Amino acid sequence: MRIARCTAALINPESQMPSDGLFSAINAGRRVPGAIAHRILIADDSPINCIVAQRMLHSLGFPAEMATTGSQALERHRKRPYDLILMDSQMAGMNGFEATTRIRAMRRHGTVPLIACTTASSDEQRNACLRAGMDDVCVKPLKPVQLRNLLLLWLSPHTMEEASRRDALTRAELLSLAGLFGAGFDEVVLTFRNDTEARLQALRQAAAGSDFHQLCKVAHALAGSCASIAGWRMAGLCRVLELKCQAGQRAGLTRLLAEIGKAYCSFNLQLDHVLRCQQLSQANEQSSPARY
Amino acid sequence: MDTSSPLAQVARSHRALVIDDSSVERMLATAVLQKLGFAVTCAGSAEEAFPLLTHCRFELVVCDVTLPGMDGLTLLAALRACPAPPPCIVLSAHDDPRHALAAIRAGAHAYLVKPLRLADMREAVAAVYPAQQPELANQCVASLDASANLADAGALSHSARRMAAAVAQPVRSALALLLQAGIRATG
Repeated sequence: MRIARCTAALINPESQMPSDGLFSAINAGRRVPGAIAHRILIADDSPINCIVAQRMLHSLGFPAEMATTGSQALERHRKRPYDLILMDSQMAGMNGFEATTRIRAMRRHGTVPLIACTTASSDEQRNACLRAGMDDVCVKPLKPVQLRNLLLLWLSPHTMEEASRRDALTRAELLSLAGLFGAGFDEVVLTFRNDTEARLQALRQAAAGSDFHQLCKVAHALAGSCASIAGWRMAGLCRVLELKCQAGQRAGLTRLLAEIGKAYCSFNLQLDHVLRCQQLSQANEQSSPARY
Repeated sequence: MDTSSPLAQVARSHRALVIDDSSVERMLATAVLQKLGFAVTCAGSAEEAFPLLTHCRFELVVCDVTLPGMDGLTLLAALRACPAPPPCIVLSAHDDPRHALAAIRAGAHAYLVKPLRLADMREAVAAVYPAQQPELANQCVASLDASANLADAGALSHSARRMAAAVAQPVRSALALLLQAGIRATG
């Protein structure tokens, strides 16, 4: 426990988190680095849902605007484009599906990340959102941890500083987990790397053979193990891959696989960093004079 | 190990079986349960778990839903048919009431969404220990089944609230999920 706290403080003095694997839940209530620079639109015909989402986004540091119809969302995005839109699929007037189709047809700003917010959790309804052109799906009621991870996945950092502050968050969370595992953390990392490399290979083979059932299965397993050790970006990308395969969306799969590979390389560097920190702390503890 | 807490003292010398096909997730569940004072045994599939469940006594089973071969919910149903089955906590990647309800119907005492975190497991273990009242749980699930079949969110929510006041602690976490299902269904 002490090791994790000390090393985390070295990386980020603000990170006085408990070393019990709780960091993500606690941190969800904190502001996301660089959040203020991202503009988000909430499109939902229920004012209560809009207010809840807006309050949650504000607590994470994101400025958020509201639209209560699909046409209002479309108009606002056309006038001044957003960095991300949370779109209710069922709205009175122009619904989320139609608004999505129209946004995607825009010559400029048509590639904005569109996240479906839906009360429906059935596979068919989720698939319909993806087929309409939405990038991802989150089920209402929104939860801070879920929302935070979703925003970190879909909002690219605007600056190098923002990117490095996000990396620091990941390292702090990894250190929290390292504290839970203690000396066994290096074995966890080794197992994770072996499993991940085998699964990445399986994903490539399944993609080459257009085996969507296998892609779906492997992506699900990989998402689970990545999330278990705070590889949130990889976990998010694998979840999107799983959703796309379930919805039969072939477009963009190659790019998504490349993104997962890139995220793995980046996460591996973070793991190396944390392992080094842990070894350093253990060496310092061993070399410190004995207490009497 | 967190041995100072009352929960750790209850769990100390208690044995838990973790069933998950992912090595990393098994390691995480093991670390979390050891932190709570359990001696942990692992299995990578339901087929691997059965002989262990037959020959050893476990005070807790932690089971993934998606497993190679027999899935976690089928294992749970089979376990429920045994005399004095150990309480089971289901782990799943699916964060929605539909999957949670399926797990509770199959006999789960708690439903936790992955990734597993210590605070969630601590809360779930505290809820399933020590009292187990399967009769009450069965009554509750039957009542909720009826409401869910009617697809009446109001009735489901009302039924869950009414039962929550009367049933044992282990069932409450399940009821909280079902209340949430009611909220979602109303949009």
